[in-house]
Amino acid sequence: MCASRLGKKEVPVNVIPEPNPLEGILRMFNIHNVRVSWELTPTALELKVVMRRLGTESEKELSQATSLSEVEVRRCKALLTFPKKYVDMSLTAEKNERISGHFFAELYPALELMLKIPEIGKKYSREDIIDRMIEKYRNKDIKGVLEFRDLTKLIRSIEKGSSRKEVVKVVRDIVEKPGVGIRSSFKSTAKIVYDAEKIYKNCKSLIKSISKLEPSKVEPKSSLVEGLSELKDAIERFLQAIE
Amino acid sequence: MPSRTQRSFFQEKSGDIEALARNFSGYATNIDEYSIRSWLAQFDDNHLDVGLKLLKHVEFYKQPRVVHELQVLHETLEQINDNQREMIFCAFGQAGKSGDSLLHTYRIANHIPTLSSFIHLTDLPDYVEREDLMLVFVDDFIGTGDQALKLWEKIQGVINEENQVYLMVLCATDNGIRHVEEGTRGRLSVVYNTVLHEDSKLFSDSNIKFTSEEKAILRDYCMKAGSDPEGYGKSQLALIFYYRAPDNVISILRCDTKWKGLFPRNP
Repeated sequence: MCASRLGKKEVPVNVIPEPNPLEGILRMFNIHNVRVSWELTPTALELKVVMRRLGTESEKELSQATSLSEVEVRRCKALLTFPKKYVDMSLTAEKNERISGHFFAELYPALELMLKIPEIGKKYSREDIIDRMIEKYRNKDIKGVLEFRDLTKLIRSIEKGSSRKEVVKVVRDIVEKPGVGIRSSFKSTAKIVYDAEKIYKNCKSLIKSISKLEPSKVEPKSSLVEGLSELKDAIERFLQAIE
Repeated sequence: MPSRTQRSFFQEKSGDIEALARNFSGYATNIDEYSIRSWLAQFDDNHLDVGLKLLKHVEFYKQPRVVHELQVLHETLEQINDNQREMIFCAFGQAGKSGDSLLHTYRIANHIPTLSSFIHLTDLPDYVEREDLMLVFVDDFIGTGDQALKLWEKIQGVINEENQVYLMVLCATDNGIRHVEEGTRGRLSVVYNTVLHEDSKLFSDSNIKFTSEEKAILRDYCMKAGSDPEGYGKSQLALIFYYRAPDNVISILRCDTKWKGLFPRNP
């Protein structure tokens, strides 16, 4: 109709060869990348085909082929490690019962770390822990999927100096006891380790910045001097409290 | 404690109540005469007969009926599959719930020994290169068709266009069938045993099983019970499977609020 209105006898079309399944999927990836983004599980299913067709699981190569970021590829791959019934669950359950693909992608790093703790890995199977985490999520003991990042940080805090015994006990409580959430457990156990690490980095950065300053060019009554004096007092009070 | 009117009603209608208890006996929450009486007791004394009438018009799918209907559906599929494509079956409903158990029943009912013919949705990418398949998604019911369309959008990318794809259900509304087939541009054809038309809606003018007054009374109770009073998509159905009540069912039959439905969805 448009062509006839323009007075053309033929419809001008850009004829392209019919894409094979892989080309079709890659084209869809690119379209979704610039338009409406896919949900994680459908993306992961399509990525499964791409991985097989291209014969690679390299996040870099898959990212280049699909226009997904490497982080997104990693999340899709993490989701695909879960037993099929869970991935199906992220596709089909009714909206009030659905556990999204993001739930599993976020759970994955914490799950792998939990299974490496002998006190947990020997007692519970992978599916036992997944089922318990789903139950806790449905019961609102876990309020958001991002809380699994705190669980990962909680376990990793052992490497940063937290008491292994205490962390393992807290993780076991999270797995075993109804009503025990992640966020509060993390705050009471490991948050201080990360806060201390952050302050230490800030100290190093501040020392470096101060050492670059030329004292003769700083006004004695400037806000910088005032701020540094307050900081010095706070540090002294803190160190005295520790001693 | 039941009122005097209720006691008298239950005594007078004990035969009907016993028959209903037998009919509903396979439901997940173990329905008996007492649970039916408790459910009826939520109605005002002068509405007990309307409540009882509603129960008599509940379309209940007992297990033997489901098995038989799955056999009929399988025969239908074999007739459709005249070019002898390999049939692959996949649950389409709630994972780990009705879809999965229905698929298992389907396999047993039709003596299909090959487990490899039954796959998860997650397996679909493994079949994307095949062009000789008849993919059959299995579910119990299509109400509005919204849920089926949403799921289709998520999986269509890993289904080879050369394959025939069917959604096989025990029962579907005519609107739901149209919505699914049009929404998938004919890629997903619905195979069903029973189709529900406008007269299946409890409060519709086309429904001649209930008078206008009875419809108004029932609707009023549904509104008071809340929880999507007319059912999802205003489907207004009274259709129950022995393992669950669809969310398209009117609230007084399935809800678990201050009003206790006889067929709670999450027993």
